[in-house]
Amino acid sequence: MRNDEIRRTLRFLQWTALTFILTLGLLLAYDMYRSRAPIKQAQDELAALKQQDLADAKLSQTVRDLDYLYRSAYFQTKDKQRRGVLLLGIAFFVLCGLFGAEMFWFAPKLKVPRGTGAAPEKERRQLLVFASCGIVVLVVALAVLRVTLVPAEKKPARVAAGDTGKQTQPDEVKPVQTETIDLAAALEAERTQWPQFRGSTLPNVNALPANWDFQEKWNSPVELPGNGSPVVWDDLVFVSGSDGKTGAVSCYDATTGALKWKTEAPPAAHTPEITEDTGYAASTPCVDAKRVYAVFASGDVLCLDHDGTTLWHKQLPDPVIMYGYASSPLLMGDKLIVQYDLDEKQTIFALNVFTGEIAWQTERDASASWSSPKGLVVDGKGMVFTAGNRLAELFDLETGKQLWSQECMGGEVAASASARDGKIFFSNSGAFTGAFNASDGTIIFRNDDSPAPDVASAVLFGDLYLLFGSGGTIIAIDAADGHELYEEDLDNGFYSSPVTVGGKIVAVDMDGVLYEFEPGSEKLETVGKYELGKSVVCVPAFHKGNVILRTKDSALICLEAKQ
Amino acid sequence: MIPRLSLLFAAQARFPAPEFESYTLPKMSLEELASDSVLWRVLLLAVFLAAGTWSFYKLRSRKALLAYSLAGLAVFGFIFASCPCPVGMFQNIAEGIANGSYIQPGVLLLFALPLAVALFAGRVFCGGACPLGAIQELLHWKSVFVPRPLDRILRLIPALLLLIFTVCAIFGIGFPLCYLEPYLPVFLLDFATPFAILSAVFLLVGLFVSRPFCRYVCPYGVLLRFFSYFSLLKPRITSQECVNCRLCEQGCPNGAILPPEGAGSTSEHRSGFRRISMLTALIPFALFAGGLFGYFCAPVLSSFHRDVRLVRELDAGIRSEAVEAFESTTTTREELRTRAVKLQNGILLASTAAGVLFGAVVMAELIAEARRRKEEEIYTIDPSLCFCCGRCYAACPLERKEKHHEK
Repeated sequence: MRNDEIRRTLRFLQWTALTFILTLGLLLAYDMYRSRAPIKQAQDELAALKQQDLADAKLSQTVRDLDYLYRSAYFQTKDKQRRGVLLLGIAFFVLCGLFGAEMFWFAPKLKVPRGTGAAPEKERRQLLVFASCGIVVLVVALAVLRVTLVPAEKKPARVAAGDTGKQTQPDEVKPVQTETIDLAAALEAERTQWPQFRGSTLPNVNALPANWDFQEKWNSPVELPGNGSPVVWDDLVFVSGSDGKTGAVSCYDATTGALKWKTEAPPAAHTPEITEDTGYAASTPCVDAKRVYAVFASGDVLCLDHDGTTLWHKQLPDPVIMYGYASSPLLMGDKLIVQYDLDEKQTIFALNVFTGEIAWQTERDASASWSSPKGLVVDGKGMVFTAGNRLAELFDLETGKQLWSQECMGGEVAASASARDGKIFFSNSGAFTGAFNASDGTIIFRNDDSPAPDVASAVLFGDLYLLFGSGGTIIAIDAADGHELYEEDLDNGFYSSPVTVGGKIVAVDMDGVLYEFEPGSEKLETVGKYELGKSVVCVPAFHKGNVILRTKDSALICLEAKQ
Repeated sequence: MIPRLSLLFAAQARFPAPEFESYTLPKMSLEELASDSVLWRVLLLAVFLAAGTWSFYKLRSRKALLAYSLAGLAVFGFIFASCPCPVGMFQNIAEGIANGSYIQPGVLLLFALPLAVALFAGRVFCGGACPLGAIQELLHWKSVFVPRPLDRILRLIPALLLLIFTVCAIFGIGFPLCYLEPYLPVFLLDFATPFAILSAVFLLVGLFVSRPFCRYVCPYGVLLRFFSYFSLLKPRITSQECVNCRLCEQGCPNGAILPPEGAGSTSEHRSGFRRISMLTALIPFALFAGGLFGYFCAPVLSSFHRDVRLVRELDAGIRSEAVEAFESTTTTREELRTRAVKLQNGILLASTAAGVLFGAVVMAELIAEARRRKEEEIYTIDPSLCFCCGRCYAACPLERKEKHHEK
């Protein structure tokens, strides 16, 4: 064989090996990717079967057979892939050998020298030019990195000994307090509005739609996601939203749905770790006659006027809490109550609504919770009830003094209380279902038998206390002694808390079915049912006989009764 | 997009162990092979290095050196799965020395032997006993020459990597550089992304640019280069009288052939003097800039340490697995914070010192390159840059003529 024939053969073999490697590599990559889906499917199928009663011999045998089948298929696939990879390695080594062989057998042809050869002096000058350019590029790159990336990433602060976290953001001019708010008048005024989470503190007097046959009055997209419910004051609807970097409050015209303004909070100092279910704006804002207040998962509290102008902003300590911060603030007169039960520290903050300054804060020895505080008035005095892991407590609204506490709670407390006639009612799965005497904290009744809701807050209706579970079960218990009266099962569960409006209970399930219930002493009667067709976890708001809902896909929808 | 795709492929689907009560998991056991013995590897490495030295200095044969590379690739690359590893070795040793932990004599020998040989015969290790060098040597197809000045600047990168990752190893940050060892997927036959992508990139670049990893990444190469500078044996392109045909220079894709250095005119001498004076004057600034660079890098390096990262996660309220694991231990947050602060300060100091050292290396390199070499009329080899591949022998007409006569 002549030398050029050998060389040609070697070249051919090199190309063949290279093509083989590329083809096999791509096929293997595709096969590895493709084989993932059936394995997942098989595992899911097996997991589903294992949830069933395995005492059944037939089912047990089916599980065994399927397990064997899927496992065999899995290992066969793995073996096949392993063989493929080994073949790839061998082909690779062969390719190296073929390259080496060519270099081994064929010395490079002697060439005619090109050019004029290196000029050392010129190269030295070039080297200095390259070095200077390199230094300039490095300096510019460092400057750009420091100027852009670091602030955008919120440069990880140096770990400082004894660091207790940032408390306030004193870079704004604090407004001067010139007005006062009468608590009784404020609470009375909000009864006709929908001012905060689950409506007004005192029984709400909004009207329900004329009938439950709805049509969409308007539908407006909400730019930033959030699980906080809409709140309404006069003809303005407010919602908060945040994507972790930007938090904002948006205001819509309640009649037309037009976006009137959107005001962003200052950038969050830290983007907290949250779960998708919670989001960065799970807290429902509060609104009074002049201001709107929003709390974000980053610990930022923002106060705006009804035109969207920022009145004050406060940064509470970084909220380190599993799932993310979700408690909604409570507006009681001139104080905004924030239940700040984090993993490490549990504090109730009362912020001055005019300035954002801390009016009082009470630290307790408890555990993390996601519950929202409940306001009530006993003997003309404002009080705040909080439920958390371990403790149910009542605080004086003016001083923050703990009036009583009951160590009766447990688990992950997310629901909120209801109050009426000097009694406080509370129900949460794994925590407590019962009622307290608001004056001294004694437990009036306790029901440990009925399954309690894990997310939605139970609702008071006449003599009944109704528990709406996330599994779709509604349980009515007697508000006097706590014994279970009846139970109804619906198709879907509730994350959205039910509310009492216009002498009915209104609730919306996770699939967006809007119910109007009229509970009796023996039966829960469904008066109205409307399928929105969109998932909802927020509490609906009410405005002049219309229902305003925020859907999971971040739309604000106003429903009105068909004529 | 690319990281997402990488994750898609990298995440391996696994089948859980059977849950039947009647089933017991078989115990895994690994049979120890002779090749697993480190001393055996040291012995083999010594034999290889001797063979490489013989091929390069005595046989002066490109073919013998190719065979040396192929054998090195097979043994140290595929059979020993990239051992000795020029990326991991210095980190192992640095960590061992810093923590006062026991360093296996075999590991120490694997680390020291190539350096000792470099003192005697230059970078013979890179020629073929290093699996990474061998694979790059064999999979180089058509040379694209990197301009020498640019090549010299890029060759500073390994020094930076050496310093940074020594600091990492000393302070227990781990061996992050190992993730950047591009040929490991080939040797382990494990093509999990994104490492396989890095591997493909280096292999592709290596087809055209000779030894991209050895020249512009390998941190162990910095030590070898330093030791080779003092090598006892100096390679010569030809044992005959050089005719300055420049073919060796054009045949060496690694930029290790130095052109003749003429006597130089007075103006050249003056210009050289100005250059050196300027660079010398810049030394304090370079040291300061290097220190500053190290100082700025320190928080980034610290953030890779598990304790510092954990404290930052705790402060930021992040619920990571590490945080959950920490909370199940008896260590208090204060203890963790104290430890993290101490570490952070140590890293800050070391990183700043490393920055200063890097500034010194840069200036030393620039001054060395800017000064005129000893007057030389022929093409010579820079032993610190030569990978002992023998390409210049094959390119030299005088060498070929002599080989022909020998036959």
